[in-house]
Amino acid sequence: MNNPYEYLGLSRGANEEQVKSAYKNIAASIQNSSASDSEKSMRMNELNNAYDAIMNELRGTSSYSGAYNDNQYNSGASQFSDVRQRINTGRIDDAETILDGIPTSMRNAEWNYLKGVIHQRRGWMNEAFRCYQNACRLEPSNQEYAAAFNALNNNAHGGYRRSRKTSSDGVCDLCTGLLCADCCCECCGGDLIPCC
Amino acid sequence: MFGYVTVYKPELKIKEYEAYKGVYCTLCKEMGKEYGFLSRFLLSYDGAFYVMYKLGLSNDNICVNKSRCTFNPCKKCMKVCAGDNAYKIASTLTVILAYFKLIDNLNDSSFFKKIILYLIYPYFAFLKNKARKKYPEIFEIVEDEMQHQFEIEKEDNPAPDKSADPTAKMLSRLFAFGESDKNKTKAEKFGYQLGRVVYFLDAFDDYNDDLKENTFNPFKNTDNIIEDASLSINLSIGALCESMTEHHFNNFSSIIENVICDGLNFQLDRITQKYRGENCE
Repeated sequence: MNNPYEYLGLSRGANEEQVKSAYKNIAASIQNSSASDSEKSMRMNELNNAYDAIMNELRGTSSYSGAYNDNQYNSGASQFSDVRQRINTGRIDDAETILDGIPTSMRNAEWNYLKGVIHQRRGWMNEAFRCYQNACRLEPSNQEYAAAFNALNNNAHGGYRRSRKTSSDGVCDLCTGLLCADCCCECCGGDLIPCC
Repeated sequence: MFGYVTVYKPELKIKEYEAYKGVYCTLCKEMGKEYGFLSRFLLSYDGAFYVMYKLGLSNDNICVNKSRCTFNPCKKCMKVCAGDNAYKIASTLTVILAYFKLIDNLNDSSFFKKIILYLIYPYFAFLKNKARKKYPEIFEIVEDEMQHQFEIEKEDNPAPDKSADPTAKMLSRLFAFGESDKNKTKAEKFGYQLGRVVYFLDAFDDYNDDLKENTFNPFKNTDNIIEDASLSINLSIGALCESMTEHHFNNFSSIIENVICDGLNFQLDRITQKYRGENCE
């Protein structure tokens, strides 16, 4: 790859803010272009690599010459695998910059879900809840989004108290349940537990 | 902190309650020793919770002695000693927070109230200077985040998450203060969510007054205050309960669990009742 600074149209010595705004501009132009989806994802990948390289250099983690490796872009399965990768490695700020660079018209269920994950990592629970809610509304059949939303929704209704209380006497509940079932069966002439 | 972080008594065992009171009494004594007799009136249960959290994570053994209350010598109380450091930090913190609360009140109270506050101001300034000398780092954390809070509240309708951020960060830094690397991130996360709960509880509690006096409140733009505040508070309490399971407490684990999972929820119920009652009238 060429010099990542050239790719972003910046000169060496640009600060983080400049890099981020250049990134957002280019990302928006890629997403708005008329190219095919596979080409878009390829160009986004190049852009992300350039962005990463500069960020690593600015933060002193490594120099860009060594930072390249052929990133396998997993197109198809996830539109935002680069974002997911950053979230998994704990680079929340970078992941958010990429998400914010995506134009409003392209913000689908997964975008909302990932934004929610980022908010939750930061501890901004209200925003996370709202984002998960949006993700579920846009794609109600997705298990991943539903699980994240349900976990928070359970807490939102005080579920943290209930789950704690019932966990201690689960065995008692089971026995009582069986005895009740047995009584019911006997009423109807059957028998669930023969010995009582 | 504002007195919201307390135990829920009906769910406590007697021995847990005694231990809790013991920590409170010991903190009271420590404050008398460090900052003079009068400073004891600033004591709150929040400080006691801070001590319990710190002692809970530490590996020190805890010893319990019998002692007597200074205010009421007929009353017996326990002295829970271990890691004097935790008590020192908590008493310093109580003093510093009281000072900033006074400054806050000075900024938005009526003329006559201001005169009274100015009369007690020199005493608080004296306490603050003493505390600052002992723990400059703690003073810096509180001053820093209070400044951020002040700036954010001047903005035009920040989202609740954003307005809670400085207070949450303050507690996050205070809870992580002095922790080992192993516990630091856990304590930061715990403190952050606790800060949010305290901030939202306080905002919920003051909602009507803030509307009347036209002062800042993060829930000002909501249609249904009870629903919105409960949602915000419950989400954070839920996150706190999850964060509890990541901690390994050597001491007081059941009391801390009581405070987090029952005590905070009880405060929420109490405030909700207050608003429901007003609506019925």
